[in-house]
Amino acid sequence: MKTAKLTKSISMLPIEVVTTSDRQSDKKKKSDKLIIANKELAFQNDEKEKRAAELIIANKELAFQTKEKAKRAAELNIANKELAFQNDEKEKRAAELGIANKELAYQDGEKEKRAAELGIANKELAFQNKEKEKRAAELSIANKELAFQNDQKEKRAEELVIANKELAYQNQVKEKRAAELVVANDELAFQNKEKEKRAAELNIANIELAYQNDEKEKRAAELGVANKELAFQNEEKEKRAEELRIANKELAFQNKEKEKRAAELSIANKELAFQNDQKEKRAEELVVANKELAVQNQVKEKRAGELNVANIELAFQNHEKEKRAAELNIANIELAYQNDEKEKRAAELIIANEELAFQSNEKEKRAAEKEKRAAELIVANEELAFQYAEKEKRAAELIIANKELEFQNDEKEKRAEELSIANKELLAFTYVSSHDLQEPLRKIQTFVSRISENESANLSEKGKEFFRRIQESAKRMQTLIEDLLAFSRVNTAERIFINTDLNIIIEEVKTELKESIEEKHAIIEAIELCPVNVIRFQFRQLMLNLIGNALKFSIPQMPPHIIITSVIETGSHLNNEKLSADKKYCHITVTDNGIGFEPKFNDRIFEVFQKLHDKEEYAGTGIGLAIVKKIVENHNGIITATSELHKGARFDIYIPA
Amino acid sequence: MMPNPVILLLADDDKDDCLFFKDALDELPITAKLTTVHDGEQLMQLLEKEKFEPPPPHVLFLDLNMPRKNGFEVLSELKLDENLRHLPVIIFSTSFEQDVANLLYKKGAHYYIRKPAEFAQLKKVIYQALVLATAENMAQPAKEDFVIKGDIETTPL
Repeated sequence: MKTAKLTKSISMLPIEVVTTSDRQSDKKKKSDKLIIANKELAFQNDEKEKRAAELIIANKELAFQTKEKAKRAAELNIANKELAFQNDEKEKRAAELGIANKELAYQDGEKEKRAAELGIANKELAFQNKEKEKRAAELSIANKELAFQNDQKEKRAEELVIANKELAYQNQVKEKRAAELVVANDELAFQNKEKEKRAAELNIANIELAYQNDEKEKRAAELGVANKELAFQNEEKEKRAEELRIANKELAFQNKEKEKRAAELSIANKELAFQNDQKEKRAEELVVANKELAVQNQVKEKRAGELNVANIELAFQNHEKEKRAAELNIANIELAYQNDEKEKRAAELIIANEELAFQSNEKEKRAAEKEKRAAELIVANEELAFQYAEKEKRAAELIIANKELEFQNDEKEKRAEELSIANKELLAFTYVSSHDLQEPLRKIQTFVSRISENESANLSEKGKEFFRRIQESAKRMQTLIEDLLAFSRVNTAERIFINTDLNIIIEEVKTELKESIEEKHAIIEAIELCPVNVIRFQFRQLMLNLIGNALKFSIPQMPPHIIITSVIETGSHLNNEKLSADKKYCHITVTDNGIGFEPKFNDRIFEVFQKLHDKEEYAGTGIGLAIVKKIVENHNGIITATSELHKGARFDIYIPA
Repeated sequence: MMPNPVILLLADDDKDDCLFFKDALDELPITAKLTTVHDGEQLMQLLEKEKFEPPPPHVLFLDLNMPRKNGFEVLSELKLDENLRHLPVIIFSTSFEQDVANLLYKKGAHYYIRKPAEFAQLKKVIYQALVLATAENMAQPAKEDFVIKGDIETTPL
């Protein structure tokens, strides 16, 4: 209000000035016109008087105005004091702002500390994250290694499966083989059962292994996913930490800016205070120079407006600062929340790590179990491989043995076939011998005998002698045919073993050889003859041939003495290596005192058609002893001959009792 | 005593043996009426009543190995025929095997002659067989006497 009055009073002055100048111009016109000059002069005097009166009034008015000015100055004084008070208030406010700024700075410092701590925590976190990453990488490698081992095991399992199939196949082959081999069968069947058992166990073990491998792979896959998640979370944390770091830096920067601003404000306040001082000085000067004052008031008003604006700005800035502080608060809360989150996350990570560690332990355990299992399997496999190798060896041996056996069987079959053919041929030969050969021979003999009997008178002595020779040859041929027939019959005839008293057989033989025995005055002794299980007609033939030989090969002019013994003894008591030591044998000996033979012919005399003497000396076909040997063999026995020339011969026969 | 004449039947496919038999018979001090056939079929046809000239034979000398019907078959058929089963059969064969001899004895043959090489021996065995076969009332002899060896002095030959 005071300011408004001041402005009115100042504006009235120029209007007075303009009115005075107009009246002066009218005076000049009157002086120019002399007629009216006096009047005008009089008027001017009047006017001057008026004017003086007006001046008095004006002076009075001026005095009043001065008084008003003084009043006004007093009012200004009061206003200045008020302004000074306001400045004080502003200073106070500035000081408060300073304190608030310091507090803010302190808070910033705290924040910076906190940010630094957070930075360290973040570094630590980052370090831990790195460790975790390392661990995760190690786990990843371990998982890969595990996966590789699993692959290896699976491969091994597959190989084992194939090996088992192969084994099974071989077993089948072997089983087939075993069926063919009567003796090897049982053993092989037992081994096959064992193998099948073993294969079944292995199969189960493989299935278990495959299942465990599957589980491990699943687990590894889950761990891989968990690791990836962890890695992703770590990355997110790092990002977040990075953002926080940037936010902190920004915050720090803003704090610095605020401090700068506060400092500027402080300076501005100081300047204001100084300006206020200056204004007071000026107010005093205003008492003297109103115009200056008015100007200065204008300046001041301007200034006050500016200050107003500055205050508004300051208030706005304070408001902004408060906002900022609130934002910072929120940011801090957010930061705290984030820190909490991070701690939570860290706790979760710790738990996750623990879980991971636990899982790792589990894995290690698992791996240990697997290794154990693998080791067991390796041992089992080695054992199996060993057994397999042994079996293969055995199988190879068996295969070789089988081949050999097969070959031998083939050979035997061939041989049997050949023998069968030979037997058939022999049978045919027997038939031919017994009938078709004998018949013409007999007829020759008959015709010859008839000529000799009825036509001898018509024959010269030489003719008679020739007929005698024909008869001898024919007789030899007859004997040969009969012996061959006997020999072949020994092979083909039915074999019926009967417990027989040797005495009876010897008596029969003696009866048959009666003529010869009597002619040579032979003595035949049978001592301690035991019963023996024999093919009767064959054994009769045997005795006939042996005793017949003893009679035939006697020393001329010396009566044959033939001793026959038989006794049952165990093989160990008999001096022959071909006999089983623990078996019982019927040991038959036929001893004579004949011409004997050289020991070198011990074996040869049993061969067919082997003769030691001229047929003129001792007639014979060389078949008799071959028949004897054959008969002994038909009784599963053996026969030996021992002799020295001119010292008799001894035949030892051993037949299982 | 031996019938007079003794009626004989010989079944043998070998003409020489038939000749030997006839000659031997001729030289024996007996009166015989011999009929010869050369295979088993002829023999059986002859033995059927209607065809055989009476009187019936006293003895049959039977070779084993003959065409068309062998001695074994003939023997079996004779023993199955009510009218012929009592006819004495003397096996007359070149060969001798104990098993075969045993079988023939079992089948009911009376004697077995192995054809000898010596003609004199032939006469002996034929005579002995005729004496034995005609003297024993047609009954089968003991087994040990089955084979005739011509070693028994039955006649002053």
